[in-house]
Order: sequence, then structure tokens, then C-alpha cells
Amino acid sequence: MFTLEGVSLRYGGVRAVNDVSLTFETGARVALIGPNGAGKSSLLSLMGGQTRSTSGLIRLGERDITTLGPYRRANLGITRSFQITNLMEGLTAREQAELACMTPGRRGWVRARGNQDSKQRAESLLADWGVPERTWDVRPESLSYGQQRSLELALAMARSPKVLLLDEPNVGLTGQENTALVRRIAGLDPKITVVLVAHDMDMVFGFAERVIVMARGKVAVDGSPEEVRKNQLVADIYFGTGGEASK
Amino acid sequence: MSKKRTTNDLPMESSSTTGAARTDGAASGGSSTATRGNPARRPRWKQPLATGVAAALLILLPLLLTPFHQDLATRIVILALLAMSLDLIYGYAGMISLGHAAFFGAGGYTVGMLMVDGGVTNFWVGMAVSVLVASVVAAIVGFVALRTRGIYFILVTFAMGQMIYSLAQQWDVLQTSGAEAVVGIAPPEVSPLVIQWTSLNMYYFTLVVAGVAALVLYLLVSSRYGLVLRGIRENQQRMSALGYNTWLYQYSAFIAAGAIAGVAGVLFAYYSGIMAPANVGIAQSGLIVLMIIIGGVGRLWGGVIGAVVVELAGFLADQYAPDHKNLVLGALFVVALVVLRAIAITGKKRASRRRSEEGAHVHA
Amino acid sequence: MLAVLNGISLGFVLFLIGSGLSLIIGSMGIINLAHGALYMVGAYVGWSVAMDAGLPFWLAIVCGALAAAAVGVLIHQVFFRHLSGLLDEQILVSFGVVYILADVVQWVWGTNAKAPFSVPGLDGSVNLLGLIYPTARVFIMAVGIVFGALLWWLQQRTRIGAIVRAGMDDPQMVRTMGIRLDLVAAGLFVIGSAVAGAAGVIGGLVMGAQPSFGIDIMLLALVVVVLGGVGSIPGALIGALIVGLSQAVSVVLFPSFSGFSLYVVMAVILVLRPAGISGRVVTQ
Repeated sequence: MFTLEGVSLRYGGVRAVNDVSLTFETGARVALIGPNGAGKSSLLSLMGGQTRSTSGLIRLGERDITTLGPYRRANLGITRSFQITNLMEGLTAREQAELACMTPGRRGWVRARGNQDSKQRAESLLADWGVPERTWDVRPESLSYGQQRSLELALAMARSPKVLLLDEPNVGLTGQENTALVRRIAGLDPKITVVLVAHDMDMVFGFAERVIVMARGKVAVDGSPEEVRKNQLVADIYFGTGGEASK
Repeated sequence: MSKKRTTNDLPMESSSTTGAARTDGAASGGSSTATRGNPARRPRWKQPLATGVAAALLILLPLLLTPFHQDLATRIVILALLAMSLDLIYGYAGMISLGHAAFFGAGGYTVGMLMVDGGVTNFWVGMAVSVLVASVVAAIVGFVALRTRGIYFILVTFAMGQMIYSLAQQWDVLQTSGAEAVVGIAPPEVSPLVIQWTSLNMYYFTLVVAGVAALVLYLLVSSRYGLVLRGIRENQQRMSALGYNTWLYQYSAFIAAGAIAGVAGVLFAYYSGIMAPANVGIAQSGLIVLMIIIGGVGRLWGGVIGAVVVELAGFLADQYAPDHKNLVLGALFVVALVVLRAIAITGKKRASRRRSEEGAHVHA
Repeated sequence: MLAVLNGISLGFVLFLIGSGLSLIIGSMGIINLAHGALYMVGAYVGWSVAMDAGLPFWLAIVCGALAAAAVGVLIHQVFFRHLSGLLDEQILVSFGVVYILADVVQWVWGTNAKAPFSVPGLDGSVNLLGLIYPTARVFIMAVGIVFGALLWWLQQRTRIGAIVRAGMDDPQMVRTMGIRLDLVAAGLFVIGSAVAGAAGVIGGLVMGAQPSFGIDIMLLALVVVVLGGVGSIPGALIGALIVGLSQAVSVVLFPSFSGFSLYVVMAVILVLRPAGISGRVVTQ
């Protein structure tokens, strides 16, 4: 169980995230939607620890992780993908997979013990996630967009997380690739809590059991896909007179 | 074939179909161009051969030189080690540090002071204490500098390097001989060996010590540790999301680089007999950066090439245009820039041509 | 008290050069480590005009500014314009220019340092609230205050200032508004260079001119920028005064470690406030 209690994030005078309280059950499949600037990515960064909240509590199970930095959270089992595919340009897919497969200790430091097999683990990770072997030793710039996306997901999944945070994993994919991705995410271990930010409604409704709609840093609507689909407020947020709908 | 490739490029295909992709890829001309430039696919014999040739040169060449030029060779070996130590943080870990000469100076001044003021002539003691001091200085500078990132990091290392320089300038206050520089440093006693300190022997002594230090650097960068550093260089945010304490890695690398720079400083003090503020300052730090950029950042032997080029240029300038050494070195910076840009631009053209060829393949 | 006043006057010289550097780094992300060399060029040209040729001091300031601006245009157009985002390359150019200018200056003006300029009208002393104080230093403070006010007005109250500020926060946005940010940046670079040159002449009143200024002054200016926060004018002023004061005060308290203690002050401030005093965070 992953819990946010009254979490806020202020930049100067702006409240990017405003007093959000949410509970994610273990194994939940949640989509986070909302217009641009609604605070979805900020919320994801608060959950992953990339940004520290200005107020509120964040808990994983019973443990208070509010002040833990990103690497401490990653080692507790919260991993994420990033919005723009910012793979490491100077490293091959194999090297990146090896980095993802090594297990840093509590202090975020890799010891030799327990990591001797990281090379083999990296290879099986890449194979499992369908990264073609001929691309293992090239730099990501020569991978196709779809391959970059699958590598990205593979890196986040390498250490079998408890909570997986995905930031727009399908941007730039073709329809076919998109379908494959949705199937892939839906087929993840049911014990993993997945929180996914997306704009693409097919993806959202194809995968989520619960949809959270954000607007102006707050949770506007929170319910099953059916409820959200029918909700008038959601339509207002996206197409209404709010003035911030841009998508 | 192209149609098949498109399917295989699908991101979410199951692993059972990768077998097909594998054979397909191996047969495809496009993918073999893409793998060029990747060290993992270079012929296996090339690297050992290059290492062997370089080692033979380093060992045999000085035998053909006059003592005067042997001294130059010794100097180049020391500066090469210094450049390699900077590359650990600059090239591998992506921390652009402009104050690296400070640690070189810390090592050199310490061993000099131990010998001149403390009477410690033993190599092992001098080296151990000096490297420890250099590491401590690096730990302090690194702690302050790593509070910041990006451009600030560069500026702060620049300024903190100067902090050590101004300390060196005040040396007359800290020690009794009343000069800014530490003078009168003699070659050490390397018990249990007894070394006749000719220029040639000084060269070999330097080469052995620098070689050991370089080996340590090589082991660092080619280990998991080095891989993590490169990952941090590429994308710190992602590395911390993967569970790595990026600060700890960067900080430890900073200290390790400082320690190795300290080794170089000790060697330099033994070699030149004098340690002056000029060896510690920003101008020296700038030259080390120039060396690794000339030789190529992120590969240790790049520092060696750079040290050879820069030191030879400095040496020739001293010989033929002693009043305009700065001009020669300044011009070298600019030439290095032009060459670097030219390589980058042609490289980009090649890459984009390659991409468009690949694209044509896929969409055909 | 005298030390404090000296610190303030040195601080204002550093403010002149540091504010320009801060804007250049902030608006273009260019680390021009040769900014101090422009100061040095200004100082030497100013020496030639005011001391060698005996011409009026205001003319020396103008000539120093023009000379530095000319060099600034040259290095911006030939190098920095093409190097945005390329840190290695920017560092190479910076060091190259520093080395070359140091050599040229020694070539033209000799290797000896020039004494502080003594200029008719500014070489006396004034009675400042019962304290006898050199006119030159009072002049420097006055220039610094006027310049600071002008710069602040430019940045906060004019359209150009708004563009520069917006360009630092969100360059993409400013470009989509159809503003040629590259022209603004180029203008800023040249103006910053000119101000550095003028600062060289004005600072020459108390410090003279030396070939080592390219690095020495640069470092002080860098500390100003680091402490004040990149791109912040008020930050640069505060940073400059801190540097000036800690320099002057430590000369009195620990004469042998004046240079060193400045960096200790910087280190302590950075450990406490990593983003500098103004707290402006640059995401690069």
C-alpha cells in the first residue's frame, strides 16, 4: 500500500500539487490523467522522490518515506520511467541494463557480493523485454523509438519493483506499438502497483481499474473508468470553460 | 526483409521472436554500420597490441634520448598521470572540474615540506602522507563543490582550486625558508632499493610509480564502479531512480582523482626539486583540461596523448619563443577547439546519414 | 572603518564586472572565463589613454570600454555564438583567450605591473564624515551605485530587461514569441564586455593594471557570481560586497591569508546555501 496524505508542492507562489491525499492498494492499476499543467508529472516526481514535497506525508506500507531521496525509495521498491525518453546516450543498451540489474545496498552503493551475475541478468532482462539482441551493443540513438521505449520500461522493471511509476510511456509510439505496450503493462505481475500518467485515452481505459483526474494541482475526480467516462466534471475539465484545457 | 525488420522492431514482442531478429540483424548491413565505434565490438587483438607497443615505447625510447630530453619525458609521464586522474572525474563521471592542479599541488607541497622542513627522505612515508593530504584536500573541495551542480560546479571548482593556490602563495608564512615555493626537494630514498638518481633512472622510477597509479585508475574505470560513474555522467536523475547514491559515487571519485593527482604531485616534486604556486594554480588546471580534451575525454589514454601534445608544445615554445609561451599555449587551446568542432560536425553528419539510411530501410 | 570603505569600493569594482558575467552566464549559459581578461584589456587601454597620453579620464573609460567591447564582439562572433551548450569547447576558448590576451598585453605594455592611475581631480582626498578618504575610491563607489541603479532599472522596468529575465526562465517560450533571443544575448555579451573594460579603467584607479588580472580578477568575479547566484543583479551586488569586504577586512585581520580567507568565506556560504545567496536555481 502506497499512501499520500495532504501532499503539496509549491514553487515560489505556484502550487503545482495542492493538498493531495491518495491511497494506492497493492497491485492497483491506476491511470493519472488531466490537462497539461494539472500536476500529474509533479505528483509522480513526489511519489518517486525526485522532488521533495513542501508539506504532507508519503508512506510505503507503514513506513514514512516523505524525506527519503530517490535512491532510497528506489531501493525500497519504487521505480519509475521518465516522460521524455532520456536514456543514457553514451551507454549501450547492455550497459544500461547492467546498471539497472545491479543491486545497490541501503546506502545506494553496489557491492561486489551479490552482483557477480549482473551481466547475465542484464542479458536476460533485455531478452525478456524484447530488445533485439543486435541492438544490445549500440548506443540508444540508433535504436528505434519503440525500442527505446521498451528499453526504458525494462530498466524500470529490472529489479522487480513494488510500485512502478510510468510517465507517459506511450508518447511517440505507433498504434500497433501502443497496443503491444498496453498488453505488456496489463500483463505485469499483479502484485505490482502501477501508476501511469497518460494523455492517450485508449491506453488509459485499456489498462486502468481506477482513473484519477487531476486539475490545478488537485484531485478532481477519482473513480472507476466507467464513472470517470460518465462524469460531467471530467468533460468540463478537458473541454469546458476552465480555460486551461489544452489537450 | 525490410518488412520483417519493422515487425521485429516492435518494442513489445515476446522473447521467442527475438531469435529471428537476431539472425536477421546479423545479416543486415544497416546494423553493422550502427555498431561501428562501439568499443565492445572492436577486434580483440587491437587493444593489447596498442598497449604493448605503447609500453615498449615508454620503456625503450628514453634509452635513445639525451638526459635533457629524458627529463622532458619524465615530465610528460607525470603530467599524463595527472591528466588521467582528472579524466576519472571529468570524462568518466562528467564532473567538469577546473581546479584539479590543487591536489597535484597538495601532494607536491606536502612531500616537499616533509623533506625540506621535516627531514623525511623516505619515499614510502612521503608518498603515503602526501597522498593522504591530497585526498583530504580533495575531500574538502569536493564536499563544497558537490553542494552545487551544473555551471555552479564548474565555477566552484575553479574558485576552490584558487583557494589552494592562494594558500601556496602564503607558504612563506607557513614555513621557515621564507619563499613562496618549496625549494631543495631531493630524490627520495626508496628503501630497500638504492637508486643512482640519473635522469634515466628518475625516468624509470617515475614510470613505475605512475604506471601503478594508472593501473589503479584503469581498474577503477573498467569495473562496475566505472560503469556507475559513466551512468551518472549520462543521466544522474535516472541513476538515482535506479537506486544509486549518485552523490556518494561522485564524491568518492572526486577524492580518488585527488589522491592520484597527489601521486603525480609527489613525483613532480621529486623530479623538479621545486614546488611553486605556478604548479598549483588555475593556469596549470586549465592545461590539464586542455590535455584531456585534446586526447579525448572519457578514455584514459586520451590524457596521455594530450599530455604529450601540450608538454611538447610548451617545451618547444620554451626553446624557440620563450617570451611567447602563453601565446603558443593559447593558440593550442583554440586549435584544439577547432579540431574538436570539426570532428563533432563530421561525426554528426555521418550519424545522421546512417540514421537516414536506417530509416530508409525500415520504411521501404 | 577604513578597511570597510576600501572593501566597499573594491566590491563596487567587482560588482561592475561580476554583474555582466552573471548575466552572460545566466542568459546564454556561456561560461566565459575570459571575462576577467576583458577587464585587463580595459585597464591597460585606460592606462595608455589616461597616464601615457595624459588625456581626460572619462575618455580613458570610454576607450577602455570600447577596446573590451571590440574583443568581446570578436570572441562572441567567432567562438561563443556557435558553442551554446558545449561546455568543453567554451572552457577551451576561455582559457585560450586568457592565455593569448595575457601574452599580447605583456607584449604591448611590458611585463611590469602598472601602478594605480593618478588622475587630476581624483588623486586627492575628501573629508567623508570626518574621515579623510581618497577621492578615487569615493568616485568608484559613486559609479558603482549609479551603475547598479541603472542596471536594476533596465532589468526590472524595461522591455529588454523583461526579455532577458524571461529568456533565463524559459528560452523556448521567448523564442516562440518571435523574439530573437540570440540577438539579445549577443547584445548582452558585448555590453557586458564593455562594462568589464570600463571597470578595468575605473578599478585601475586603485589597482593599476597587471598581466595576471585576466585570472585574478576573473576569480573574484566568479566568486561574486557563485555567491550572488547566476543571473541575479541584486545577488551580484551582495556577492560583490561580501567579496570586497571579506577581502579588505581579512587584509587587516590576517594579512597573510587574505586571498585564502575569501575562499573560506565562499565555501562556508556555499555549504550553508548551495544555490547562492539570492537562491536563484539554474537548471542546466
